[in-house]
Amino acid sequence: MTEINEDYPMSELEKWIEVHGARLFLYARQQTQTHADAQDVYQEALIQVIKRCKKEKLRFVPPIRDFFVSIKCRAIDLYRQQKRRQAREDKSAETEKVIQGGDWFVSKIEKDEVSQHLIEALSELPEEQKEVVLLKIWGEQTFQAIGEITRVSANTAASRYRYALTQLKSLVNLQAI
Amino acid sequence: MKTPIQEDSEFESLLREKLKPSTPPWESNREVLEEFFLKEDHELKRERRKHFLKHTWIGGLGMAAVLLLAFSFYFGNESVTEPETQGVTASVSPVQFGPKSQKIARTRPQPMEYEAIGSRNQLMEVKDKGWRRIDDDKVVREFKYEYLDTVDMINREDGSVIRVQVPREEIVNFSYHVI
Repeated sequence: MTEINEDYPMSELEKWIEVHGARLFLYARQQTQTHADAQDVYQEALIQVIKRCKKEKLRFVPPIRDFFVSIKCRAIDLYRQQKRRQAREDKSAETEKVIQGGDWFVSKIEKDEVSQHLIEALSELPEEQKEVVLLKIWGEQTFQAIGEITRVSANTAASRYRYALTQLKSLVNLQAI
Repeated sequence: MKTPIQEDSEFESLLREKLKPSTPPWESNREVLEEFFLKEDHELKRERRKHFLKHTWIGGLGMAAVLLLAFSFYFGNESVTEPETQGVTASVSPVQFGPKSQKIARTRPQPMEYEAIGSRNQLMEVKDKGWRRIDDDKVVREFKYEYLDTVDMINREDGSVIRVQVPREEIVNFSYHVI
């Protein structure tokens, strides 16, 4: 746990964001349709949790799991809002299909073939499996915590992860790697 | 020959190595930090104050009842000693409430002669005792409220008034929940 002193020095919080910001943003990106939505969700979720810290004069930044939960809640809210708006506008055209995963990870000038394969394989996974993989590999969460974030049991989270890994490995030609 | 666990572990490492999550936009982090450091949240302050007042009121009523019991016990015994319970010391002092109050010094009043005419619970100090872990993963913030509870009592026969004052401490734990 990161300790912050009474005056909440900005440097401590900045450091914390530097360490955890990317993994939280990745999760926000997976939970939303667009990069802009992810940015909104990430920002609102962090503000929501940090407001809580402020209110209760926390000396510690809460566990990262709380931020994942907050991101999920905000993403669900946003999805509902967008759904309502879409129904009001009565849009007949389908939303443009975006290739998932394209902007989730650091883009290199020359993305190697393996990275491309991995991103494509990841985007093929069902959403619930993708969520567990992101939380496990890049979020570094336990199955217990993943279960709490995604509102399933730890066993379900673990089995989703196993399925996802098997599927990923079969999608990516391991021999070629 | 690799075991499935070894294979999984290697594959996880490969994913971590090849795919680095992109960092959140700088503006988002700036907004978060600004929100945290610059903007005052008056609504939250009001909420905290309301919570505090609620606790004071409930604690005050309970303490007044305890004081009355302690007081009747104190005057019911022949050998009077300073009442002392769990480190809390009560002080009883006559109050100048008219010429007849001098009688207190000469005669000890009998039980049931006094009745309460007023009470007050005064908050003296609030101490922040910091964080405490009460379960494996439950952390609470502990606050110690120090009160001075006062009860004024009158003897209807001779009009004398005494004041009982008891310091009191109350520990309140604020638990943390994610919204």
